[in-house]
Amino acid sequence: MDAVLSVLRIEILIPWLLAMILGIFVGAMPGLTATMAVALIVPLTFHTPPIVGLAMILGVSFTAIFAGDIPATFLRVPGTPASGAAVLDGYEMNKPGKGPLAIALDLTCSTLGGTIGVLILITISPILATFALRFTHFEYFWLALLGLSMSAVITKGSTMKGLISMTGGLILSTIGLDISTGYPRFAFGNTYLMGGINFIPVMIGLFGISEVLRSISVTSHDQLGDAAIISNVKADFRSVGKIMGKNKRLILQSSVIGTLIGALPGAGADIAAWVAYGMAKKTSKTPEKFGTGAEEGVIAPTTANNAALGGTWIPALVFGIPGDSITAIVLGAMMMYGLKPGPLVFQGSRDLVNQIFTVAVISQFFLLILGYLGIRAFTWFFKFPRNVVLAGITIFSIIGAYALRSSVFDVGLVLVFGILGYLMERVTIPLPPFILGLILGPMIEENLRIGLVKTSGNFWPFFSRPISAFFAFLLILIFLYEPVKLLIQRKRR
Amino acid sequence: MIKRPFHFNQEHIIGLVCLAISVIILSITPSFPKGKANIGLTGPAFFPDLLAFVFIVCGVYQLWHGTAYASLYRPITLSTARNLFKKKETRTAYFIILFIVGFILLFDILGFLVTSFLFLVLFLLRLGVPRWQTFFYATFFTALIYFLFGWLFTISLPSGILEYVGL
Amino acid sequence: MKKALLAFLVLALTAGIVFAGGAKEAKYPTKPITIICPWAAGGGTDRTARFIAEQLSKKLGVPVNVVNKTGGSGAVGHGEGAAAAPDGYTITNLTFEINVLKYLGYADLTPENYIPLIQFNEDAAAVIVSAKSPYKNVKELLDDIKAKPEGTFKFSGSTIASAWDLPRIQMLMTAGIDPQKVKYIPTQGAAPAITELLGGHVDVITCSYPEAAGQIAAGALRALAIMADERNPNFPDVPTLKEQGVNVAGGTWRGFGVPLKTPELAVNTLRKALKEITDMQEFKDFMNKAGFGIKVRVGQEFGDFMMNQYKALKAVMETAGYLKK
Repeated sequence: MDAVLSVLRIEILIPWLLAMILGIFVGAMPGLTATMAVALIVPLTFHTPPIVGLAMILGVSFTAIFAGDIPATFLRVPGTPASGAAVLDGYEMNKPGKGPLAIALDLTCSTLGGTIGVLILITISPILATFALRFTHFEYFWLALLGLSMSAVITKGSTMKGLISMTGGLILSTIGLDISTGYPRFAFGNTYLMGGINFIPVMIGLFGISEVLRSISVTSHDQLGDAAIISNVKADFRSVGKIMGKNKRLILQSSVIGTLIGALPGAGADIAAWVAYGMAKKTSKTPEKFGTGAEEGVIAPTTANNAALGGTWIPALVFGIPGDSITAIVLGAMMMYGLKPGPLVFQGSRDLVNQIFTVAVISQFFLLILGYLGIRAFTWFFKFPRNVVLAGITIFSIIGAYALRSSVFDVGLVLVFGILGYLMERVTIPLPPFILGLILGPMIEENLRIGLVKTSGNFWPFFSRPISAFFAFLLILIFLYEPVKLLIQRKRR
Repeated sequence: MIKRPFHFNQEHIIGLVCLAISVIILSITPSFPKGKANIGLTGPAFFPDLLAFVFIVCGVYQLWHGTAYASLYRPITLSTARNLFKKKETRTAYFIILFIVGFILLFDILGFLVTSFLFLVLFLLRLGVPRWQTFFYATFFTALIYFLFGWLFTISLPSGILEYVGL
Repeated sequence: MKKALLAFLVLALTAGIVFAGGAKEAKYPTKPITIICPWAAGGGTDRTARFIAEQLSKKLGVPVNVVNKTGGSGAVGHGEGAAAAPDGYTITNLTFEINVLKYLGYADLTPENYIPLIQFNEDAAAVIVSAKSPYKNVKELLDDIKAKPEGTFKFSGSTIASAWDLPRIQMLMTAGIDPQKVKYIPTQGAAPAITELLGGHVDVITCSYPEAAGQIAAGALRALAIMADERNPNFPDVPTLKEQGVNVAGGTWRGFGVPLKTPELAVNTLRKALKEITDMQEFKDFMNKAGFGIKVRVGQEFGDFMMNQYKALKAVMETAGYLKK
């Protein structure tokens, strides 16, 4: 209780809320990530007391991750990488005009997921952190493969085309410096290519710009072309309660998956969202509805990405090891305050840790309010004529990509992948597996190859270590469950 | 099996693209450094080569699929290619692509304010937005982005030719 | 009428350009300065750059912006910084990596592509093992590496050919051990390497002491040596590598440079302002808190330091097999 009162003071509340509002804006801009939002805040925190700075950082990260879902739902442009999976069913729900319901559901689930993630952080973080330390290249390899297998789970239609899309993403991910030898692959002497293909401009291009191109190239009065544009946007919270009631188990499941993956230093909110989405489909009674605007398909990824944020603080607080790129910045800021993150922080700065926990929980309530206002603020955009909205999406996507590293190279990527995404959809190749391949490619390759260096070329530890074996088993289960079930049913008949 | 005439269709294009990419990869990777088997180090070519082989399988499958199930897909002929430039809306899409290319080439030279304003004007006019609205929205979006990115997010946007008049 | 207006505009613009151009030579700075940071926003280099940018802005009275141009192990940022207009309005945040980019074949860049302004930081690599490890000093560790078969030991620290990897190779070379005798597990920076060490997945890591300070204080890790010329007053208990008979010092550093042909006036103004900043108590407090060591070398001294290191690294890169043929 003391901790609650100690953070609800006006000199903390004002910067905290302002930071959360900034988070909404940054998160909703395609190209600007939650990490960037935190990096923006950090120089300001040099001049504030620790708890003010940390409240600003926590607040900005939670709102930014949620706000990334807003353009994902209405425009099919993920605002942050963590919203990639939110595009799938959120945008599909928006097409028949249920966007407001989707985003209201999204906001409530984000808040709930965030809360559960923080509660897990508060209660069992030392246990989880110790568990996360047992993960090394062998385990991360399987985890990445598990994530990649989700592309098979989420692909609708031809499995072969899903495979082509995924392999395309994997091939793209091999561009750039090879981690184990430093050799610049497929770079042709270009320093930008050496840095690898950043998946943010690719994602903006594949999903967002391709949709703009498609909207333009269909006749103006085509129903589908107008899907992104809705006349009357009002977040609908009445139906949300009912839907959430039906999906209690799914919310809990996605929160736990999100927090666990977030707690692993080698994986963050984006992967958490994809895995939660795939798992939701696998455990759903109506998997065929996924990808066509299923409520479950909105709940799972949006719950998981906010839950993952709580998870990333687990190794950060317990061991001083960043759980993702955001907590990496946080740890730097904590050092500025003279805090040494690591096992001693719980003894030496117990009060501050309690305050951090309190701030994290209260931020969830603020998120609910500010998120709602953010949705309202965002939707004035749709009051413009359709063609103006298209121009707006394009210029914001372009500048967002430019802002990544102040370079038009990334704008070029947006264009190239916008065209590619358009073409791929024309020949019915699904886009999500491509993004999964691009995100997970380096993780699979690095962990496999470096793991093999560790064992001098021996594959056995990939199967013999307990966690590895569990993941391998899980993978087999995912692929064999359906066929085996079918086989048994057929035999019974 | 009824003998069907051969139709060139989208499945063949996918297959050919897959094969072409595989060939490109396999022709580049031999120049990569080799791994060291004694310490279990696979070379940088290991993963790309593996993916190229997957793509070859995919490509061959697509070629077969496109031929065996040709009736499922619309044939692509020379006239399809000609149609690509016929419709007004499709041409608009090409123009938009052209505008973005122009944006990329001119952004650093002309600076943010000029390039982005010009881009929006061309974009909106091409989509048939009335002239006065076009100028209003182009100014509005440029100003909004300038405020959000340049001021609020402290991302430095190039000032380009306006540098000399102090903007 | 229209023509007259146009003519007037052209004239005004030309006058503006001439005037602005003329003014630039006499006075510096008159417009915002950009610092190119080759590393990501929020990281160590970025934080120091932003702090100094803030101070520099106060000193010179113009805005100073930090732009992160990341990618290619620093090749993108360093390259853009060297190719920027030499007018004194683009400063490059130089880091250790400028000395290896050319050897690795990433970019045709060396310290000679810049006019050195100032170096403000240096962090020695530390040799760190798990607290459970049997080794109490570097000699025991190196002797055991010599005695055990090839590939027994796993080192980590950061990416290959980084400021934490190369001193490790120098240490092994100087001790008469073939660097190929141990395995190197590359990671994306010190933090994941510390994770690997804590999890018992590698045996030794090399990174800066402050990066692992939390774990060392908690008794989970142990520092065997720092690769500096003398002990660090902030952690005086850690002996240097030289004390333990291996004559190697190395680590990372940060500094600033401007493109060649930058006018004398700009170079001198910046050097003076930056030197003043590094003398400030505020700067020292900032660096101490953030866990960065202070080392100031101004102008040519900084340039010589970079070139000496650049030349010395060639042999190390060659032995390690990193040198691009």
